[in-house]
Parts: sequence; C-alpha cells; structure tokens
Amino acid sequence: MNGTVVAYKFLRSGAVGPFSGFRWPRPAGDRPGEWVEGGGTAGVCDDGIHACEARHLPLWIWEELWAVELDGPLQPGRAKLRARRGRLLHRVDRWSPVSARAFADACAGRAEEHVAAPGGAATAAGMAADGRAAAAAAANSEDPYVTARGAAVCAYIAATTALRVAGHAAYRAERAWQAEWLLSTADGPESGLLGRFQARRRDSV
Amino acid sequence: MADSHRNSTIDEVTCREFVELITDYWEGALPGERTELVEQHLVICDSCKTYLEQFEALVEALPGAAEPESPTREAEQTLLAAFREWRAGG
Repeated sequence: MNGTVVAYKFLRSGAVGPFSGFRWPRPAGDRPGEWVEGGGTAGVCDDGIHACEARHLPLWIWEELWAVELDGPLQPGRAKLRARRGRLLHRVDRWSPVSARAFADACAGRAEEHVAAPGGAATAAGMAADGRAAAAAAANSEDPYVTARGAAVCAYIAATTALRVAGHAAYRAERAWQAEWLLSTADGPESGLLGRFQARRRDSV
Repeated sequence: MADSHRNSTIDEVTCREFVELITDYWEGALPGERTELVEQHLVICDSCKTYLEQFEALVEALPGAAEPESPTREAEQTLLAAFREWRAGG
C-alpha cells in the first residue's frame, strides 16, 4: 500500500521513542515535525518508522500520544504499521496523566467485573486485586511514567482476566473496549484528524 | 508482572521467554512479529525493562564486546602468509 496514512504513535515524555530512544522532531505551530527516514536516521529502527492503528492502542501505552503521518510503502504488522518515513502531526493532548488514571481505574473495574462473573473467582483470583493496586499506584503518582505504566498494566490485567474467565473472544472484546475508550479520548473534537479504529488513508501522493 | 498472569494460549511473551530472547532482540535478529511481542511485553513489565537496561549496560561496559576486535598488523601478516602458502600449495 502506498500513499500517506495518519496513524498513532505512543512516545515517552519529550517525544522520545520508547524502544529506539530517538527524540522525534516536534511540530512547530501549524507545521508538522520534520520527516524522519527509517534506517537513514541515526537512532531510528533500521526497518522503518513504526506506528499503530487505533485498535492496537492499548498494546503500546506510554506517556504521550501523537498523530503521526506515515509515507511510502506501508507494511501492516501484527499490531503495528511500518513505513519508509514518518513525521509527527500533533500531540493528542487529551491523553494525559489525568486520562491515564481514569483509564487505569476503568480497566481495574472491568477486571473486577470479570472476576465477579460465574467461575471468575476460581480462575483469576488475585488478578483483579493486582489491577486495583496498579490503578491506585497510578492515581497516587504525579510521575507521568507511573500513570502511563499503570494504565498499560491495568489494561493488560483486564484483558488477561477476561481471557482466563471467558476465553479468547472475551480477550479480544476487552482489548476492543479499551481501544474504544482510548479513541474516545484521542478522537475528541479538538484532535480533528484521527479516524476511528483504522488508520485513515489519505490520497496517494 | 508475575508470570502467573500469563496464559500460553494467547500470543503474549512471558518474562521467561523474554530472558531467552533478549540477545536476539538486542541484536535486532528477531523476526518482526516476535519483536512486536517482545516490545509489547516491555510496555507492561518493569522487571524485564530493568533486565534489558542492565543487559545493555553490561554490554557497553565490556570493552570491545560489541565490535569484533581488529587483528594486529603482525597477526594480519601471519594470516596472509598462511593463506598465500595454502593457495600456493593448492
């Protein structure tokens, strides 16, 4: 697939790649950040620029959420997209420590609901308690890393609790619910650019 | 993240698997999908993140561990001489 696509990218504080350590050039005013070439830029992954679709957001949670434009041949992976180059369009400001705490709390509540279902307590004992503890840690911290990590862990616990109690379909449903929650945060009226559940393809260039 | 939360029927990487895969991950030798699974694990697991950081620090602390050492000039000449001798004999 060729052309440009607007997708999502979670980054560490300061627009830093969580695995590469690469500091992304940020947008200036209305202008997007500079294009970054995969494999041709020091510190960037050799095999391209990575981002994800909305449905995979719960798997990649970090402190900052950005809308990113991908260009060149697009290769969908199992849970991410890869392209020849990419640039940051804008930060999704509504993803913040406040929303991360709310998301962690919501996921902890979902885990508790799964455990409360028939057979749940026997198969997932302790998981909901771990989720509630992770949500509390996120709620009580001012560190964006701690709140983001709490959100990621609570999402994982809710999904795996669903898996233990009700199987793979429940796991997928839980991850879909989480993506919907995150997207409702990310796709607010001020974000403007982001499509629902799929990266939005722009006209080929 | 305790391994008791893992379920082998879903394609998530466990802490134990991460430890087995860390060298290949660090060298960029894992297939793409396996790399994704490892990175997804690192999002939620502080213990393995710390393990990876310690691994990287260890590699950086070992002089010459990341790059193969160039042979000395003397060793290079010895090897070349042996090679020429082998070719002449062949």
